[in-house]
Amino acid sequence: MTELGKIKLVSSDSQEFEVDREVAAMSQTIKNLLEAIEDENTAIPIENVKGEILERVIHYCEHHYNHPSPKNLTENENEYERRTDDIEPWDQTFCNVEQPILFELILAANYLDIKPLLDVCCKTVANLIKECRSPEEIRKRFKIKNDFTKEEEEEIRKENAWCLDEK
Amino acid sequence: MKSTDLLDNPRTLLEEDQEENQKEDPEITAEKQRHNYMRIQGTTLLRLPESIYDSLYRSDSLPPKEKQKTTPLNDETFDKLPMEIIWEICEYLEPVSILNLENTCTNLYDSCQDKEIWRKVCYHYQILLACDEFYVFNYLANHHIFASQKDLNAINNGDDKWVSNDKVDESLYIYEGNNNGNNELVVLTTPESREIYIENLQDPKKTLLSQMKKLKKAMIKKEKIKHRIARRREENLRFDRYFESLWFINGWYPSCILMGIFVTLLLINLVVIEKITLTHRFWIFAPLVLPTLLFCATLILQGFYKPRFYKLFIIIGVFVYIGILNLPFYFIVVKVSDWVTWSWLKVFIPLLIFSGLVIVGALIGLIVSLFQRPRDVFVVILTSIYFALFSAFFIFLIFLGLKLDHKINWNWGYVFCPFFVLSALPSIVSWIYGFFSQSNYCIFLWAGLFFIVGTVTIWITPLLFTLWLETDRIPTFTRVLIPIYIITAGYPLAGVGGFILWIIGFFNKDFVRNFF
Repeated sequence: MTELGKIKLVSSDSQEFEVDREVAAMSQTIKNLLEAIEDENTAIPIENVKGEILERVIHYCEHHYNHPSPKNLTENENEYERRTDDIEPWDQTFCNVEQPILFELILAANYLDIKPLLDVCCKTVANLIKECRSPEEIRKRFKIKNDFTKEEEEEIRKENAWCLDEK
Repeated sequence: MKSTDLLDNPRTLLEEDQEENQKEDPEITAEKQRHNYMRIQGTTLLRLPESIYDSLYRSDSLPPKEKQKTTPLNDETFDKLPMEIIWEICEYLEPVSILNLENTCTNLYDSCQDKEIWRKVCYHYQILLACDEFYVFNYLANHHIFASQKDLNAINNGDDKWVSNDKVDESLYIYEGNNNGNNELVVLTTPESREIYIENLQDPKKTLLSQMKKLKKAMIKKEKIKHRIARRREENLRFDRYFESLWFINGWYPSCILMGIFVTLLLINLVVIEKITLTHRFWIFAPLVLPTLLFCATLILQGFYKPRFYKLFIIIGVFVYIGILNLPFYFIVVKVSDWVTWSWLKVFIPLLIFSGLVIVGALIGLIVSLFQRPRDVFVVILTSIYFALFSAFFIFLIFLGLKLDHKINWNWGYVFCPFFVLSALPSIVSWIYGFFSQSNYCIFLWAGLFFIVGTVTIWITPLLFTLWLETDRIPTFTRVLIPIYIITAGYPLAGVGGFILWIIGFFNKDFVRNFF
């Protein structure tokens, strides 16, 4: 049995988490589910998210539920401008994790449809990419395997020569 | 690793997961992509896990699943991220970063080719494609881009959709649109029209990149120009500091000339009074050549520190100086040396022309400076002095020529009278003027200096000359020249002092700065 106003989430590796209903409702997916489910005591399985990641996601949601950011209003004001340098300090610390966890977080946020978390994670990744000056650096940073053929690579290099040789 | 307090041992959990992970069903991935794609498009579409569907529609309780369907977690995750996530990330990137990203591997390359994402980048990077004035302005201000008025005019003439002329100043930039590969100008003035434009782009990536190429070229060009301007400014500053300092200009140039006059007068003195014999009378005036050489040398030296345009200007200046300023003296030298038999008035013609030009120039300068606001008192005084001095000189030359040619038989006092009348006048006037404009103490001092120098050299000396030539009051020529000696020797000394200061300052900037 769960406490009043609380729901149970089950991760893919069968870990159970008790969360406030309101906190869980930050996830659009769970919110819609809760509206559909009548029995409050049903444990909701979050199939694609592992316990470790789910724990983090819940932590994020709890924090933002308790500290709602005032920026939501200004979000759509500048729809043409996509900034990546406006991440809040708490979020920065939150996203300062190893890359695999970060990507898992992105997937989880995408799956659970938590827009602010997804945005913050994407911004973090975008910042990581922005710091790289060349494809080679990106490969190194994200440990991506180069599967282009020699000819393809040469062609790409030629095509993008104008923007890569900075001064 | 900085992490939240909640998680104590993420690494081990991760490894355990990896072991039991399985590859995701490709069909599910495709399905997920489709759903999430739609979410990105703006309509949130709920995608429920299978188990929830079961619980909803079958109402029987869930059997615990044996197989866990989770995304494999390994170090290569990034390029295995679903496409829509990559798109999401790409939206936060600049075009160049996207290019870098897509060139890392084939998977990402394919992901980044999507038109939609480039269209979105176009929105966020809107300035490159289409813009209203505000965006142009902002963008340019942020990127320090500027274009010439010529470019802007070309744009204005080419396309009337361009921002109207009165809203563009010369620091604003051009913008070239690219409509489906044709290099025509496309400037959209409202966000709505911009959106429509971007929507209709056949190949947003190509368009955006071609715009960026152009912009980059333009920026490099502007950067070069900026650099050149900065260098020129620096050169000018250096020049101003060392060559146009008050000491140098007011000391060195007149010193060159006065030094020559001093030596010449000394030689005349020696020849006339002391009866020292020279092989030829030409040598008396030879020292006049000295200041010319010094003057030209300094001008050429200046040329090395001036930007290219000024170098030309100075070379011309040297020739003009030699040609115009020294020509009269050569005429006199030639005449004194008995090489020609021209009348004195003829000999003075170049000098007359020169002083005539100075009179006209000074008069124009005087009138302009009088009506200019704010009025520069110093310029008024300077031009009035030049005007008076050269007018006197002009009239004196005519009188002198006529007298030497024996056309008139006046007393020498009459010949010198233009100096008596005109020379001291502006000095006194400027002094009085300076006295009443007490706010500018410097002017007062300058006026006083002009008064003293003007009176001594141009008023007393002619008087002494007259007394020497017409009466017996002054027995020797030497005494006549004493005031001139004082001035002509004193000035070059000050000039030499200034020159030494300048030399020191050239090597030790702080010295001169502290000196003043």
